Amino acid sequence: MKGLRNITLLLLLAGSAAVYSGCSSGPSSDELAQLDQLKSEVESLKKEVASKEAEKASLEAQVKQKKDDLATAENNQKLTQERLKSQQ
Amino acid sequence: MKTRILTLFAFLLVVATVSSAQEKLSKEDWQSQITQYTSQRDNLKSRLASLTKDIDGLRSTLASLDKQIQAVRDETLAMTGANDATRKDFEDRLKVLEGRIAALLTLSDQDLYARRLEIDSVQAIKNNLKKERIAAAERYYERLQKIQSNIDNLRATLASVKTVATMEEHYVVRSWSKYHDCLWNISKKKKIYDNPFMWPKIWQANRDQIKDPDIIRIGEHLKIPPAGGLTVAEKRAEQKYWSQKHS
Repeated sequence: MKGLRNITLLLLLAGSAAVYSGCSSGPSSDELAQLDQLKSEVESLKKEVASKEAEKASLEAQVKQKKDDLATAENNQKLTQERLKSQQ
Repeated sequence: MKTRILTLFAFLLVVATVSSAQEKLSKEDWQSQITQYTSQRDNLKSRLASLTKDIDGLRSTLASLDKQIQAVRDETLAMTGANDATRKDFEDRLKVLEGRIAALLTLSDQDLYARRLEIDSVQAIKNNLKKERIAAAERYYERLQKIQSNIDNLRATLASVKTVATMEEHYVVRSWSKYHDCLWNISKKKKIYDNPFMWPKIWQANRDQIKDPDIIRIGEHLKIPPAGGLTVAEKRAEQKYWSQKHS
């Protein structure tokens, strides 16, 4: 009699726990997949942005160098003009 | 006993089930995360579009700068009246000159002294090149300046060699005990004749000081005539010396 009571108690406890965990409202598996996809898309975009930022920084440095080169070329042109005048 | 085991089992079952339920995402949390990640994605997409636009703009600026630089360089070269053929010809002559100067720079001081006239020759070639209009272009002007700097270095080396050579036109006698100075040994010195058999040359050039070639005095300033074979008079004096010594 006592054993039967224990088994009944055990089943009741297990049943209530199962109901508590399994029947509470949560996202469906499709919704969870949607969240995972969104997360991976964000990660991929972060990497792409980092790569583009590095590319932009490199191009900015190149532009700066080219501007210096242009200034040097223009200066050389002036110097050449002066030398040609002094040759005459 | 059996009851206790069952109770413990039931307790563990409940704990495991409840904790597993706690790990699961609630609908509200899911919604919140969806909203958060969607916003983040949209921001990143917008940033990416902005970066792509900036990069395209920078590429375009770079191409434009390249064109401008080339245009200025072409214009500068055109000012000198040079074309491809004259430019190549000038560069070839520059290279030859640079090669000659590089060869002179590798010479020992003595060899440079022997070829000292070549320095004047390369200087003349450089001066002529500098007179050409194309020489005013920066790229050639800098090379010509480097050439001039190397010629100046050669001249400086030559000047120091000349100083040594001038010093060697005289020799101050030092002690026999320490330096073993005698006409034979002085003549043997590398900086004098590098040949002991030339001693009569020093003797004959210093007859006013040296009566007996076996006797020279400390502190005497000996004239050192230019190198070359013994003259007839020097040979005769040497023969006389040996015949007197053996008689």
